[in-house]
Amino acid sequence: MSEYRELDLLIDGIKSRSDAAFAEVYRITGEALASFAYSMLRDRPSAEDAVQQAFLELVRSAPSIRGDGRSLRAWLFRSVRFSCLDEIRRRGRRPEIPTDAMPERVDVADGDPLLGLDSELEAALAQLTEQQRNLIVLRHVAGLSGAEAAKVMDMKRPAAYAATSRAEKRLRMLLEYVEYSPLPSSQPRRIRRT
Amino acid sequence: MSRLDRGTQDRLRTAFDAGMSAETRDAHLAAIVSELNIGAVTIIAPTPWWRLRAASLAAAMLVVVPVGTAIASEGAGPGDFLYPVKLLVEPFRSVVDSDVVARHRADELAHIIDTPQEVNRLTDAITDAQDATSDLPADHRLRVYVEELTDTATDRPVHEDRERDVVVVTDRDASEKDERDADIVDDTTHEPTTTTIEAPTRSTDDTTHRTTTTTTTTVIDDRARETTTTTEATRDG
Repeated sequence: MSEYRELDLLIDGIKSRSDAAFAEVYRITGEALASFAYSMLRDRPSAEDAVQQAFLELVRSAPSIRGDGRSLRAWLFRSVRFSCLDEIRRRGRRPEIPTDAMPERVDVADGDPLLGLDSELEAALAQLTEQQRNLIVLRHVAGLSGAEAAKVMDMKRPAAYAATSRAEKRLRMLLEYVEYSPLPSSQPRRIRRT
Repeated sequence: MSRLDRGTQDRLRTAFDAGMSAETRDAHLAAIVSELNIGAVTIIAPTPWWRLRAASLAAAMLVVVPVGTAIASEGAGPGDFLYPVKLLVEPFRSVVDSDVVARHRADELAHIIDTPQEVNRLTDAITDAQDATSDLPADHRLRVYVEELTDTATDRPVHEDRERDVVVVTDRDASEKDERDADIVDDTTHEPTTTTIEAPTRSTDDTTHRTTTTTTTTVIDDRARETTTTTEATRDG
């Protein structure tokens, strides 16, 4: 049974504030929510807090939840996004790495152990906007549909589709450039700013 | 169709794997269950906006409608729809305006005198006005006013309305005016309501040989549906 079908069957339990329903929804969506939060905050404890916050918010809003399993899933991701944005504002900084602050050289061999990213991917993602990164994570890590991603990002569907397509194309080009750039193996690879 | 190959997608999933531990999951679930239990007792569903707006509107109506009705009833007279409201409000108004009851009764009496009324209504109005002003000093303007109105009321002519089986007080000035206007025009059509037909006839006395002209004037009043005939004789020469 697909995740959406399972969530559809759990909607009534959520509305009636059933412990079992909440536990099941957490089991189905918790990891993906944590990944999304992690991509925004780059900090595991904060990401876990954001997930917990989203579920506590769901408990409070349970009677007024509308729609099917997809709506519930989008609602949770949207809640996580808002929690992350609050956390970012609270920290007084944004996780997006400004282009001017980009390192000229990235050592492929040394991945950032905190982020768990391979350096090529990290360098390529750093070239995307925050919105593009979020769309990439929502579609390819969390597995949301385009419509769900649009809802989470507060975007019109066509705009979300177009933005996702541009992000994917750019990420692919960046990764290909890093992969096939004829640099000596002894030297760190250079990421060209675009 | 995705523009990212499976390898890139796997790299992304690996990169952003939050890797929540079993302890974290258990802690989250415990917090959720705890919130569910607390919420069952304390959480109140938020009131929808339309319900808040409806409540505000109802509260405003509760203030506006009684106040508006009270103000509108100020000019009501005996027999009017709002007159009971006026009587209901009077005790409250008299707290800040001690003459309000006397003034209302005097005004009502003045209004009743100015219009043709049943005698009983007029006498009731006089009695009410006198009662309302009885506690006032003898030289109080309202008491003097009511006495003057009472004198005026007793001068009014009365006639018997047989259809309603009541005695009606007529507004003297108005009745005189009606008589003056009756022959002139209809109020609505502005057309004459009376038709006057004069029919002179001449006759000669055989003995005196004098000619007399007799004019028969017939006045037909369409509005009153009456016909009046008068005859006037004038001797010629």
